[in-house]
Amino acid sequence: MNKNSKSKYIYLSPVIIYAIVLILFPIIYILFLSFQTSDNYGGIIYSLTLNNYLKIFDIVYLRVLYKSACIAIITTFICILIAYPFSIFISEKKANTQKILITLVMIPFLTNSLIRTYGWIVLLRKEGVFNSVLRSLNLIDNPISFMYNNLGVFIGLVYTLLPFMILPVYSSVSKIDKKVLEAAEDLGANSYQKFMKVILPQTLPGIFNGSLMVFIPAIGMFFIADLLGGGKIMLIGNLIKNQFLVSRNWPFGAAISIFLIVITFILVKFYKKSGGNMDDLGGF
Amino acid sequence: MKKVMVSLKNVFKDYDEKKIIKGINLDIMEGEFLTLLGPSGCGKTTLLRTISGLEKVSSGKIYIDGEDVTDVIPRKRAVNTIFQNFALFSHMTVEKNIEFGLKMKKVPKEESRKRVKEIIELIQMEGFEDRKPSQLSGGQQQRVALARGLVNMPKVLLLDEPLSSLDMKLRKQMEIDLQRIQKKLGITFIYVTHDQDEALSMSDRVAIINNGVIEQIDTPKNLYNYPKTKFVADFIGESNQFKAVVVSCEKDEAIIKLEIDLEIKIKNNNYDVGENLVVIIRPEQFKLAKERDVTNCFYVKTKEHIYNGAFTKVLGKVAKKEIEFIIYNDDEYTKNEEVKLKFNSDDIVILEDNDEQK
Repeated sequence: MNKNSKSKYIYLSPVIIYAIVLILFPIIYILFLSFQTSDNYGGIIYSLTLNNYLKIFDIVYLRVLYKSACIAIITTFICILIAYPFSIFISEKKANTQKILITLVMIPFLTNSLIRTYGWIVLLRKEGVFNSVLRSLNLIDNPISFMYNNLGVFIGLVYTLLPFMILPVYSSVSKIDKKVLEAAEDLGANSYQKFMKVILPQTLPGIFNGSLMVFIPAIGMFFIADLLGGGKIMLIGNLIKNQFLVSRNWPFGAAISIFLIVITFILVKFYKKSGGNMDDLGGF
Repeated sequence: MKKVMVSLKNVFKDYDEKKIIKGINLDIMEGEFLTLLGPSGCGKTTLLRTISGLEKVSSGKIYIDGEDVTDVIPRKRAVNTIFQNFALFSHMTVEKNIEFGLKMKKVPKEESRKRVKEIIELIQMEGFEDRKPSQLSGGQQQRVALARGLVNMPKVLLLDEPLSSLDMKLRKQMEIDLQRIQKKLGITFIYVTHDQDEALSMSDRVAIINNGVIEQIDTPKNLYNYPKTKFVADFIGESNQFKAVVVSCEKDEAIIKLEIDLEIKIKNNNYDVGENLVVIIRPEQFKLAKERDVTNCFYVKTKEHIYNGAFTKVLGKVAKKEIEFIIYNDDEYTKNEEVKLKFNSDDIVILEDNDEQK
């Protein structure tokens, strides 16, 4: 090893140590746990078994998986519908205005998402802001149930995850060369054709990237389902949390976690195969 | 007599109070290769975009093939544009790029396939149909852009500095190809460039644009030999410009005195004694004078020279005035030497000096 690469590792050592201690070790430990058995008191019996994985395919848990997937897919879809026009709207502004608008999108990240979710409760509950306003305007007689149902979960998930869709979609929309759009117009494309044939295909990587960044957390965001779904809605995230904190069945929780990681890898693999650029996944 | 294909009537264009185009009238004939030539920022690209419809005029009218298209949107105009950086659809193959215009115009599949094949042959890109633009060289991308613009057989093709991103050798090749294709298809080409070599070598006529107005429009040869303004003389080719004043007038002849203290005899063109003129002499119009030559001769002290292969460009000085001339035999030159030059007073261009603000 020459001097140069040695000093490179010295500079990188804090990051490397951080990644090994806080990311790599826990994942290896989770992987290890997933092959163990739990005793009745939450202790771990060291063994080597695939039972935890087989248990995931139990009909009860498959239903949870199915429901989680549905909710995550719908959330992703709603995010695309909001983020896409919004990104086009931003990208047509002047360069400085664009920067300001994108910063505004980022600002909510400064507040913990759990606190922001509590904020939504204040707005959405039966005596909340929305219902009070609607009632005082005589628009409704009985309060609308905005939360403790699927609607509440969707509102919470879309609100929390929307920036993860906006940033990659905006990044791909803003990369489109204006001249290319003019060329399409010049060659006879109307607005609809211009969108379908030129804008959409060129922004698909951004949409896929955003979808990945929304879909995966959407499966796992247990606190939103707990707070806004009233504990009635069980997502994979809740399932994992319950295995660790309530049922004290760590090995089963670990197995579901690994299962989720594998699904993520498959999706990324699929993205790469369909011509996606890994750099697009990394940053914006 | 050929018919007028594109006609601009008194076209003005302002951007936020800034006047870009200040009243342009221009008739372009069917099948003509016309170049809009001017320095950057002169409004030539904006003018082109008003013809394609991508830019709306502030006032004035635009006619294409006799039809008033001033308020017609771009896709309804029978023109296509070749953009500066090609603006190809990066997610489509060569074939799909070329096919795009036909698809938008809903040309039947059979017909469309035939035309794409023909045009790919025309641009000599057989075998590249399934490549993506990123897999092509600059010259190839340029060909595809050209094919994409031509496949709809527009009445007019607008080219916005299409060769500017190509290297010198490729550019020369593309100049030849462009001319060949234009003559073969008989489509009117309107070509925007700031490169005078391109303009002179390809065009039937060139319109010199400066500050949003047409300075002069003529064949390349006439522009070079008979520039009508100092700007044109300066912009097209190299030129030595001398201030001159009319010393005496007779019926047919006048004598003027150049700023290098040289009196020459020229044809009288209603000059008045004391009138200010500008005399333009091209570097190649100077010849080395013999001992016995007396008229239109002067001595120059040589300063610098630029060897150019076939000829050598020499910078000289006479009475504080820098002069450029060309010699064809490098051996005749030595630095800091007095050289006697002559010129033929019939070749030179004489303009009235109405540039008072200077």
